Amino acid sequence: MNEDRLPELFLEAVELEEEGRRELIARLQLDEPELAVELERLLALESTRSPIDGSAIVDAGLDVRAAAVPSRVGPYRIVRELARGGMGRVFLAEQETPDFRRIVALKLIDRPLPDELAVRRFRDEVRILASLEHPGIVRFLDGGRSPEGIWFLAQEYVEGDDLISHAERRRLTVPERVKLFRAVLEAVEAAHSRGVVHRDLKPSNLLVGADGRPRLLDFGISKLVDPQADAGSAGTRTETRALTPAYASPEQLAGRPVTAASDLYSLGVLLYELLVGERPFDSVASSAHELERAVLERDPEPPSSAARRRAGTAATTEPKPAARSPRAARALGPDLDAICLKALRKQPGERYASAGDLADDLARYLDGRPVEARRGNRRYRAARWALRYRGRLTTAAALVVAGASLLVALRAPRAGVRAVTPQVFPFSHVRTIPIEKLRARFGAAPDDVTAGAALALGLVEVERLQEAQILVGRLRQIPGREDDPVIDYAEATIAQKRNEHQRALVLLTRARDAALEQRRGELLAQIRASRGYTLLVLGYATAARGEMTLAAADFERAGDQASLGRVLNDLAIFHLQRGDLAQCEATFEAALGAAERAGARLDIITFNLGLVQAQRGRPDLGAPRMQRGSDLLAQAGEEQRAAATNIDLSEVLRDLGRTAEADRLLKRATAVLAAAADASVRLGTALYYRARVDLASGRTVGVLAAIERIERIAETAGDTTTATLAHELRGRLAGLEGDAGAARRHFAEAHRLLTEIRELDHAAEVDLEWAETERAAGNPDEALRVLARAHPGQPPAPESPLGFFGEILRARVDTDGGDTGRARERLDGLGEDAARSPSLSRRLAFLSARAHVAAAEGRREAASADFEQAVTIARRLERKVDELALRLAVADLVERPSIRLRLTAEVDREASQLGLARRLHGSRARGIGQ
Amino acid sequence: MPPRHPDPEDVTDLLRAWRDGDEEADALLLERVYTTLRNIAVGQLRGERSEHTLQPTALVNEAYLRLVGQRELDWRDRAHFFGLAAVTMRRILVDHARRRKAKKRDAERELVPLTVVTVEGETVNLLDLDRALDSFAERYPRQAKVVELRYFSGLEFEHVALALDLSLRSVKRDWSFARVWLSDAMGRR
Repeated sequence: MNEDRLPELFLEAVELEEEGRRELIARLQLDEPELAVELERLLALESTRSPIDGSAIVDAGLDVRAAAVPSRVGPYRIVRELARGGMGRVFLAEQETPDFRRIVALKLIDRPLPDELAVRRFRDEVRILASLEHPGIVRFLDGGRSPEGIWFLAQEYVEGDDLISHAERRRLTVPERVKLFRAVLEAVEAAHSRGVVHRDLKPSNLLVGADGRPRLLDFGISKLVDPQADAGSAGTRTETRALTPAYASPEQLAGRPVTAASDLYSLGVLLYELLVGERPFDSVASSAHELERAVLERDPEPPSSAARRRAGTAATTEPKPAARSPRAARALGPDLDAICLKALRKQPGERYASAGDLADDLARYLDGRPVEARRGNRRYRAARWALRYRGRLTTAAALVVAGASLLVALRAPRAGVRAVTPQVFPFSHVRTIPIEKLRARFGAAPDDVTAGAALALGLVEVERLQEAQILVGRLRQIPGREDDPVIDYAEATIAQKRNEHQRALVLLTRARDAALEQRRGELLAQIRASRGYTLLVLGYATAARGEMTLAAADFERAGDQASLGRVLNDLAIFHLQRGDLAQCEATFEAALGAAERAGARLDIITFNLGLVQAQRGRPDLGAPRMQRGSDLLAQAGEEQRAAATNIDLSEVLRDLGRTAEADRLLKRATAVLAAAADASVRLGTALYYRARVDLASGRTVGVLAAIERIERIAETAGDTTTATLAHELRGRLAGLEGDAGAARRHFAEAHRLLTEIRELDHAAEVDLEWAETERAAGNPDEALRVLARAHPGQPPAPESPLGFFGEILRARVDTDGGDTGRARERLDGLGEDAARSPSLSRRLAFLSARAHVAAAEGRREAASADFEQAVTIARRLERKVDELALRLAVADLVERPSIRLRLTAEVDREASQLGLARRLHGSRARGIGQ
Repeated sequence: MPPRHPDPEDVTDLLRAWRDGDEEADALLLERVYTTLRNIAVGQLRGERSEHTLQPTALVNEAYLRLVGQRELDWRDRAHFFGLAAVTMRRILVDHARRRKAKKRDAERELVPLTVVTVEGETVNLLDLDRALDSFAERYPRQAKVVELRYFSGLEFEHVALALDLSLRSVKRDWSFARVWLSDAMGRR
């Protein structure tokens, strides 16, 4: 590692904002990963106190408190030092009174109290704490200022293992751990009911004595030691250093007021650790900074899944083997998952209302009764699985982002629609004004930065980027106007056109800050919208959403419906990436409304809206919308874009069973794209779809060639998304050929790449396909593991592809494993209409799953009926592979051996003609139907 | 001309000799500075009131006055002096921290302070800091010097800049880096 560069890199990074820093680190990770790690660590410490920050004040007189060990503090005689914590030092001391001798734990507080008010509050607290009497809470005895002038707190001295170690040592089973935890909760409830909040619950504060009873330490102490901890002020970072980040609640980390709910969060973490053997986020965060981010932003992995993951890596000896055995891992079921996750909600209001409620729910779990955490929100329960639509509808090409940076061509308002209030943004009409005119205007006022920027934007519109760049350079030299945000905005637009999004982001950030400072309100909204779009493209989804929401509000206030429509379109895409389909659809509707009111273009938004509807399982509603959008694009002369949208439309049509139409459309669109530019990314997508259809219908011959072509396109265009398409196809092909290992490799690579470029929704879809491949190959555990990873934490919407197909997959796994009751429950959860879904692929999947359940339960007629129906659908969709597998399953149900043999032979013959023999035989050998 | 041995009592003479390359002169210089600083510290602390605190700058300046007096020093000499003072301060404090660690009690006997206590009441483990600073100096010698001068001698940025013949901006940047690096190094112990 080249350490010499570290200072200069650090100093550079410090000047940047959050996004710039991330970008820097990401770049560094590619060349020098070790350096990147160092840099990140250092940056995290930048705003904390450094040991050399003060000037060394050498204080001999009062140093006693810091360095020397006093021999007496009031009535307590110091025996020895016990520990040195973040709040001060703890000593073992003896109290001698005429009546008895007592051993106490004495905490000396280093920080002196600032004023009278603080002293009074301190004494009040002490009184309250001293009144807490509960066998599960370590007695607080005394606190105050000793005659020697030392501030102290005295507690009963308790010895024992901390909660986690105790459970480990005694090798407690899951139910035993839960019972132990309930005892803890009892004590916490007692304190809470007296208004005392702990604030710093962690294993070292939960000691279990030889009698097996847990006792809580330091209840309310942190408030005494750090009086500001309550005020809700974030203070300086160092003030909250006393917190152990791993157990701190999100609101504590954010510096917001702390309540009993914060204790409940910490209890959630403890419960999690007790059950799993590691804390939530331990596996994903390697520094305090990352951990903090995770606690604030990410959702925790459900305990059962974490435990299974840990059990899976059984090769390594792990220090905390809690629940490591697969059997133990299986003891962690959805009930405990729900309980833990409820306790760990980010919003305090969504957690358990009290320790008693949590204890009650745990009691229910122990009794085998239904658990409250699972009820109430049916969607939450059902939507646990990542489901995959048989068709990747959301491609970069399809989800056409309106590119909020530039303005839409304003058509004349339709008759009857009045022109809306004047648009304040100075560059609204740029696109409609001819270049010559813009140039003339600028020529007449060569010092007018706005006119210059308008010209630059006009040039960008017509792809004369080099000229625009030179112009921007000249504008910057106009004296006194170097900081004008308009110039940065223009330059950012150029960068966006060149796909230099990171650069665009830096410029837009600067522009925004300047606009704020100079109070250029009319620019702010547009800059924000642009910046939001850029953030979205770069993968900073949450930040993007924030910006875009602000921009939308601004546009609305200004009455700028056209811009509002565009930014809402982009905002809707954010929701889509988060898997929030309902919100996505609603936002697209709003965008459409705004665009209509402004008399602006509707093509893109219309198409997008249709796409989402199809994604939600309503291809019947989506297709006409998508068609309309595509037509509008064609009408506007945007051939390429129209062709790109037609690719996705073809998939949806196929899902409706309109196969011939779909084929035609796809063929035509492919031709249009191929004619335009060889290395077009959109062409890659078209080829991908074609290849996928071919695979499904067993026509594997041309697929390899298609894959190679896609890979070439990916390389030439340098486009990662396209590369993942190729990987995915290879994965599918390998799966079809029965090579599970190769399939796994390719899917894993696709997933990795997609995660890297933050296309998380696509990554989840790959996972679904992967999981299905594993299941078909006879690896149910692997399938579930991949599936669980597809959506860490956040449950997908049940009607989304991820939600629907994932559930079906799990039902299949359940069936394969013999748990047909569970499988049936899942299928029921999908709703009655699943069997009649307008989406044929969904119908197919559902019927197939249901048939398998029936078959496993011996209900031959029901199974046959469903299988036959499924076969019909498979034929309609030209999914040969599925069809053959289904026919095999039908054959298995037949009682008469002669007929069974005949049917099976027919299938085998057809299969071998297609070169599919091996796979089908393979799965049959394991007794798992396809 | 035969080499003239510098007058060990005359610090300016020692400094001149050091500049001419006399290493022995440098050693003598260090010893003088050390003794003076310690004497001053002891003197100041013995006459303490309970609120009395000792500022490193005051200490170093006092030593400077005692040793150099009103005489004019070349900036390089001055820089060297302050550098020595910083090193000396560091040694004094570290030595005492080490000694205190060895003895659990007897705190009251110590005349010179035990642990460096920063304004906010946090204690900095001086031994750890010393070690960390050594590691730091191995990789980033210039920045380490900045730390020494500012933290141990208590010099302001401008004076550090003068002493090391760096720009003010460089000094601030060096400091900015040093503080997180040391924070990190000490946090990992």
